[in-house]
Amino acid sequence: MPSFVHPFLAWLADTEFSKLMVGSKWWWAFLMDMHFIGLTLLMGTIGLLDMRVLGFAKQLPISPLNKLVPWGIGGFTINLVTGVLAFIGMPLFYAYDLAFWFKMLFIALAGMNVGLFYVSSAFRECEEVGPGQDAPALAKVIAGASLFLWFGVIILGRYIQIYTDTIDH
Amino acid sequence: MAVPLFLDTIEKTDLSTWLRESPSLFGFYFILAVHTIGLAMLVGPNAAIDLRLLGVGSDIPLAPLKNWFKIMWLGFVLNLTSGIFLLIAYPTKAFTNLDFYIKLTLIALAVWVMQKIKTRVFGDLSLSDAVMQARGRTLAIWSLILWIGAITAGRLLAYTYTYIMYGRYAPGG
Repeated sequence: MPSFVHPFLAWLADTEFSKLMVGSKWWWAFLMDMHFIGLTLLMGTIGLLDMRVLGFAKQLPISPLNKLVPWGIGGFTINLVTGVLAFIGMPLFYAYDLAFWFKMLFIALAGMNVGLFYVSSAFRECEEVGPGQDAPALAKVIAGASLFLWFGVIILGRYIQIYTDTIDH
Repeated sequence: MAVPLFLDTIEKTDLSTWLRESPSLFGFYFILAVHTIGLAMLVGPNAAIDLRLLGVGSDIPLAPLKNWFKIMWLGFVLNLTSGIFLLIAYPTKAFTNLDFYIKLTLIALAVWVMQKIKTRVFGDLSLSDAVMQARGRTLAIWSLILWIGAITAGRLLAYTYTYIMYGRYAPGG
């Protein structure tokens, strides 16, 4: 870690706002609860779309499934907010944890994967995929990557606790 | 009430000890990861179907969504299995916590509602989407409430236990 990082994290952990996050175990429990509800919302909606693109429940036309996407974004937003608040609460716990940074990497890759879906021809071509029809190959690769990355995010999130202090201060 | 001795017996088995103490990446936290994946597979699609029954994306045809019950049941089996392993690792911690019984009750009710949705809404695929949606509305509301309750009760297990192990109180508890 660059040398300016630790003083910043130590300063952050010492702020009143940081102490507010960890001051009550019930507030912390609420943050974690919301993080799991957001996870469920994200995986349920985006996972359903990904699986359809891959060919599961093929009688669904793809285009109307887009209506689920805002709910997936809502789930992600809940997790972004609760995740940032958790980091502010325990910066020294998360920042020296290898699993945490791999989780962040996977989230960034998942974000880029979503970007690729909308920027490439995949999204446009999927709009035309009706009941019983196959999605184009590129869209399938993106959907497969999406499932792999989001399940990876879940697994890495669970491993944060055992990777505490795996990065040198 | 005295804590039953068989909980101590379970904790002293090799499997229970291994689950708690093994530094293997496939030990306790792997089981927790599987439990969370099962949650995503069971509750995620169920919530999506609930939202559809409440009118989100009303041009999504309902009939093909019936396929998703297979994945939801797979998620349930994953979580029953991983849940049993978590219980073997920390039986006293769970069985002495009222919240654990609340969680199991909420899951039982949520799975019951899930099956009600499968039979009442998806039992006759020749029905129109409007009729299926009308049949599922109330069930969908209950489904969402019960799953949010089950997830919340599950998360609270980490903050409400009295004993961490047989004869050992929770740190700071």
